Amino acid sequence: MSLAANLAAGTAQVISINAGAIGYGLAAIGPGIGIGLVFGHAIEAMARQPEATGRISLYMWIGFSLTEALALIGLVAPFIFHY
Amino acid sequence: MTRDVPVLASGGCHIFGGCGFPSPGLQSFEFKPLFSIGSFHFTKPMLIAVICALAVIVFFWAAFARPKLVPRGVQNIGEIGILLVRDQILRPSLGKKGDGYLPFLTALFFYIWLMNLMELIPLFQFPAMSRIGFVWPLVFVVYFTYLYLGFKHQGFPGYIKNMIPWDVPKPVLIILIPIELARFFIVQPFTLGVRLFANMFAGHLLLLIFTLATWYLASFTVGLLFAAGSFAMMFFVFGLELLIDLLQAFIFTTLTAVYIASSLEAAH
Amino acid sequence: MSGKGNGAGPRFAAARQAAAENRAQGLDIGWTVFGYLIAGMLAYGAIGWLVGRAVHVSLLFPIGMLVGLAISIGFIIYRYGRQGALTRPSPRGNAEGDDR
Repeated sequence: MSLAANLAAGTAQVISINAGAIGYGLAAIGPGIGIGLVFGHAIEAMARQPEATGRISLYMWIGFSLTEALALIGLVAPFIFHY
Repeated sequence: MTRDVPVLASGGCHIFGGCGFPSPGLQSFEFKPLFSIGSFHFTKPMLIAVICALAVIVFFWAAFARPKLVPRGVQNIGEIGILLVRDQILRPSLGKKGDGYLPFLTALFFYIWLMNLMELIPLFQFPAMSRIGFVWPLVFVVYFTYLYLGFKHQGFPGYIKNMIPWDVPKPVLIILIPIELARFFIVQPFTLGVRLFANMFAGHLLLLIFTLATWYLASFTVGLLFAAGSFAMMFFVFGLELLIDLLQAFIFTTLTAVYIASSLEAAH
Repeated sequence: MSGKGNGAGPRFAAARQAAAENRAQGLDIGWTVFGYLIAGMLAYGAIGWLVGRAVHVSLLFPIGMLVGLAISIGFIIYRYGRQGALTRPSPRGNAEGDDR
């Protein structure tokens, strides 16, 4: 078979086997950026006003757990659709 | 060469070699044994682990075999190493009374750091911690250390009791107990080991990809441009790996100190 | 060696100590929060899987994971999202926190 057909068939097979992994990889892009934003802004705020560190870290952990949840739901999704 | 050799980089074939290239993958982490005794195979990662252990032992023995009040020679460097672990890792978590754990944490830190650095030293060029079998014994040692200390200092029921948040309403407490137990007994040591393993695995794979790409993309086509780009990336990844080696050793040892500290805390 | 940098002298030992403690505490809190997320999914995923095997509804496994995720997020917000959460000692029966 031609190289292009070989490549296409191989790619389709690899994707169908690893659909869960690819799905998680795509799902982790958004939360990755989001968590970076949460912590980056929190660090900047703490640097601007060190006496507010306690209150800022409070909201930082809330923000982190909610953002990370989306990545973890992406981890669960292949199991849902498998069943 | 390796199990499957996909014909990638087929834009043009290599200047010196043929077409295709050995793609880095899981097979890059397996080694043929250097020698075998019966069915015990002694491979390169084992050799690296033995060499690192011997190096750490020999270095600290040479530094502190006959310690003098005014340090001379190797003792200077040994003291820098120990003070680094004591002030940056041990004192923040354990405080002054935790100084008894300094030999343990120093050995852990320098052993992991040297094993990680083996990724970048020519001739070795393999981080032994990227084989998970080398990580679990360290994790077990740390795990059983802080479990034993916790049970010794707080008693068996006390230790479990201190993990559970009591200031929540009763029905919520029932829901929280499995999570707390799962986190403490399963997830904590697991993430301790997997963090180290995954960082070393990914780093080694990155280095492999860029070095292999530099060589095998160098054909007399536009591939040469890609090869040059890979060559430049190699330097960035090298620097990144230097940082990550130190950081991962630091994080492992710091979390060990923190877990030991929380075990030693007597019940209030 | 006067150009060594501003943070290395003996005058800054206390600041360096505080920074190292904050770093250790930060590492601990960070990985604990992440550990709660994973542990919630793990514990309730396991419970959901066992119950699912018993009642032959295999969808309970991912549902259990999602429920566990929600519970652990709720607990993280409760535990780390209140005033004085950082100085309060880890959950004991008689914990008192100070308000910032």
